[in-house]
Amino acid sequence: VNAIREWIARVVGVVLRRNRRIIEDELRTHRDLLIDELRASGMTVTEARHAAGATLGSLSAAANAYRDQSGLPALESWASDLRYSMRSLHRTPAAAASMVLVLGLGIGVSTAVATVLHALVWQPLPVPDSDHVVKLGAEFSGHFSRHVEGSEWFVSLPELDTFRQRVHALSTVAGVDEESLTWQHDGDARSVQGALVTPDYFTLLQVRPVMGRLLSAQDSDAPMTVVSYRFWADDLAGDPAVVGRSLVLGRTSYTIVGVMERTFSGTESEPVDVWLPLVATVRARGDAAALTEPDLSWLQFIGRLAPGASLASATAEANAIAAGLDRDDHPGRRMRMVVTRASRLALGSFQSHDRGTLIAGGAAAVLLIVVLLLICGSNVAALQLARGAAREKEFAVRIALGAGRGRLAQSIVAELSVIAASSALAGVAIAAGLLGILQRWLPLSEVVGTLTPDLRMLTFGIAYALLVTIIFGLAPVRQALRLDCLAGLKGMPGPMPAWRLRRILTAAQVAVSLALLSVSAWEGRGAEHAFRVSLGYSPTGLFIVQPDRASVPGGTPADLALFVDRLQDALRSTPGISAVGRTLIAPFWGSGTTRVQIDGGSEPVQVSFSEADETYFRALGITASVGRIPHPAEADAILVNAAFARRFWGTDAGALGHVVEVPYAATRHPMQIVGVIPEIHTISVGQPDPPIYYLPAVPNTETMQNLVVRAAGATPVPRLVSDATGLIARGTFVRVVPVTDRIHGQLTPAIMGATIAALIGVLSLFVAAVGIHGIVSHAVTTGTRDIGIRLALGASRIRILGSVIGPNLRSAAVGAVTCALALIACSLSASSAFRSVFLGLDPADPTPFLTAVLVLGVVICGAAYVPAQRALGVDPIDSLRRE
Amino acid sequence: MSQGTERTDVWQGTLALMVLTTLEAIGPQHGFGIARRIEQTSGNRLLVNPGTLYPTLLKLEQQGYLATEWGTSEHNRRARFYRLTAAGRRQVAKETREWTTATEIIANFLALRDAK
Repeated sequence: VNAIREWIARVVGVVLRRNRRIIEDELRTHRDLLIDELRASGMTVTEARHAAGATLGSLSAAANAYRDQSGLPALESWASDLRYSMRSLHRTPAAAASMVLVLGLGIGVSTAVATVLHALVWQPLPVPDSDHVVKLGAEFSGHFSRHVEGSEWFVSLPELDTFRQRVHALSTVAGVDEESLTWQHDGDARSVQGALVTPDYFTLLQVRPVMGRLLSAQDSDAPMTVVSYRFWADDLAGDPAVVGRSLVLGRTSYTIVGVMERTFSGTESEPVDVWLPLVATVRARGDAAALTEPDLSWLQFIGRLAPGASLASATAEANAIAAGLDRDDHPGRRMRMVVTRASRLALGSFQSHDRGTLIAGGAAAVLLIVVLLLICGSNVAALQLARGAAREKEFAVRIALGAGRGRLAQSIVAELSVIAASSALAGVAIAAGLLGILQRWLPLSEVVGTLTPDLRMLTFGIAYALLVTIIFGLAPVRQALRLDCLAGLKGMPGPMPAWRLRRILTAAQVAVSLALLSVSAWEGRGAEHAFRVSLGYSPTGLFIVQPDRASVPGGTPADLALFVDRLQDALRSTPGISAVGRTLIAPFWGSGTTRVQIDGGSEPVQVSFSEADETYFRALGITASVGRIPHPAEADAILVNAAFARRFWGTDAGALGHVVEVPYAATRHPMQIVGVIPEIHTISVGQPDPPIYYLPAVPNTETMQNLVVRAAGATPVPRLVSDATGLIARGTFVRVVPVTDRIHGQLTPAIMGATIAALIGVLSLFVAAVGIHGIVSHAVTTGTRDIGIRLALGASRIRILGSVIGPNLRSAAVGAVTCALALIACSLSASSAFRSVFLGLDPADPTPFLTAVLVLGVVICGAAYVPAQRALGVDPIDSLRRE
Repeated sequence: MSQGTERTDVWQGTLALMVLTTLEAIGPQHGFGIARRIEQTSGNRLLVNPGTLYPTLLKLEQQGYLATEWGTSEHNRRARFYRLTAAGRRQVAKETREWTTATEIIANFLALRDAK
């Protein structure tokens, strides 16, 4: 307690600073009293003064001792050290700025990457007790037939009910069907994101309305809706009387019963605008059959773990029930359930072929953080060592003046703290700025809300920066203390630190920079290649026309088919439009796969499929390379692409006449190949379509909802479509998308990837340059005397330059060669993956890699040359005179 | 001032107890008076420097054992007077006990040497 009182009093003393006056008064009194006493013993005034002075010694020393007790001397010495270090950093602004920048980039970039990664993958849903909310997905294998709407992972309503009744590890389950709906508003039609939910959805998630109420089991048959906070605030103008208002979605009017709380915007990646009761909405559409269909994947399956239940127990139970479903109704099928803790990342994103990409992406991000921090750390270390070497003389002077080991260390630590603190500030600023940029580029804010830098990563980054600066920053002090201070004063070099590790680090960071630069160059080249690549048809003037079913009068699949028929007819006779085709899957709108049997073979094989009428191919502008495109009347004729023909029969012509048994209208139907179309790109921009077959159009087919329109020049297709729609059925929402938009959309991730890779590449290049600059500076500073002697003995300046730069260039070359070998091995061993990631780029194309090597080489030579020039400027006489 | 005997500076850590006991014995006193009294009590074998005395006084004040007020000395000089607080009195008792124990223990060891 007394110690605390003492420290409080000391702090007060520092603040008030009144003790200074008190002690002066007090010491004066002390002296006067002594003089009084001496005079009383018979001395004269002058004698007494002298005697008192001799006895008391220096009063200012006493005052200093008193001040040390009255304030916080340690703090005050730190403050003076900080002032000193500010001055010393100010003298070498380039080195100080480089260190701050390198560390700041390390902290900032790693924090931003970790934040995004965390928000996407691990951050739980913003709902109470989110640890217990899970997503369930189904995986099917073996022999089965199943209709998929959305994702293969989704389940049907009867399946959901089975799991609800039998899985005891889940206290509640709910299903969600997310789809885009047409909002009819002031004579305007707009697309909004809707979520059709089962009655338990809101109770499961324990979310609350900010206004009104949520949907419950009681109103599952009424057309009611809950709107999101964002939709209410932006689109309904924050109307305080919104509850009770109606909202026309499709052709149905829904009464708004409540507004959702601000933080919740759905359970999948797309933010939801309106929530609707599933059963009522589907019934109102005349789709009641979907509610009882057992083999339909259309509902996202979420659940809440019962008290005491775990992911493992829920998975085990769900799989036992899935096995029961297989046994009872689907012999030959194997259904497996996957249970994961619910985050915003859609469960569908973990589908078999994407899972690898996701995991690789995550691993790459983690690796990036580690590598970045290591590189930054090693470079700051190099800079610190170089700076320390340059300051040996200063340390020697301070030691000679009597500075102790601790005092010297304290002043260095103060200086390092300034660097670390500035880096931390820079890091926070860079992280915040980077997150801002990322949020503008990537549709992140809609998925995960506003991102704030991850505090744990930030703390770790700052701690790491502090540790690196202090460990390597103190090295010169150790050296200085070991040093003979006489030698230091003369400017003789201290012992050289071990550079072996440093060389390995140089090689490693050159390799990493080169790899990153190559990736960005490849992505850039791939995107450029994809723009130039021939799709097999011209995408310009080609439009996809897609009506929204819910907005079609009647709203049933048959009504939609009728509408599409009439729209197709209307557009056909419109001037400026040369062809209007119809297809199941529009260009660059995904793909469908199924299993077929070839020529009665027993083993089904997986291929892609679509449906298209003959005008679809005419709209694309392609004709059959062999055979012909079947007519709508030919019910048993089928068209395949060149990849299909070559996969099974080697040549295009070889396919004609063969029989493909395809799943069609719930039964297997044998079809004869009558034609083969040439290689085109309609799924991935960079790659030709995989083996695919096209079922011919059946008149009035209910599945083909997409029209593909070929228009000449500047035909205003969106306006023509809306005019035609107005004549057929007013208020129907029809989307018109140019195919070129889809292509751009597909290239965006590649361009973004290239940009991010380029940014990181440039960052690592910069860091590498700073590091090499630091090492060479150090070599020149410590080697000035050697260089002087060698010059005096007649060495040529070129040789000197070589000896200073050489070792660094050698380790850089080792890194470059290692990286090149690794990249060549990777690209050749995974050539098809390479093509798909880099948009069809040939892995053997050396241009991007050579560009990266050139850029890296120029930067590194430049970074090494600048300090090396100083070596050339060494005056032999001057350097020897220092002896 | 030299009395012919060799004078040592006060041992570190003991000055606080000397100050406290002195003030307990003579009541409120200024710094010079305290120093003089301690020197006398030690039989002039100790020398109390202002450089040691005043920081110690300040420390005791910061710890709450002493209170100060300005007053007038016997020669009519303005001086700062120190007096024991209640906490200071308790501290004197406590430190006295501790010192007694410590000196007893050391005395036992010294007795071993004498008995040799």
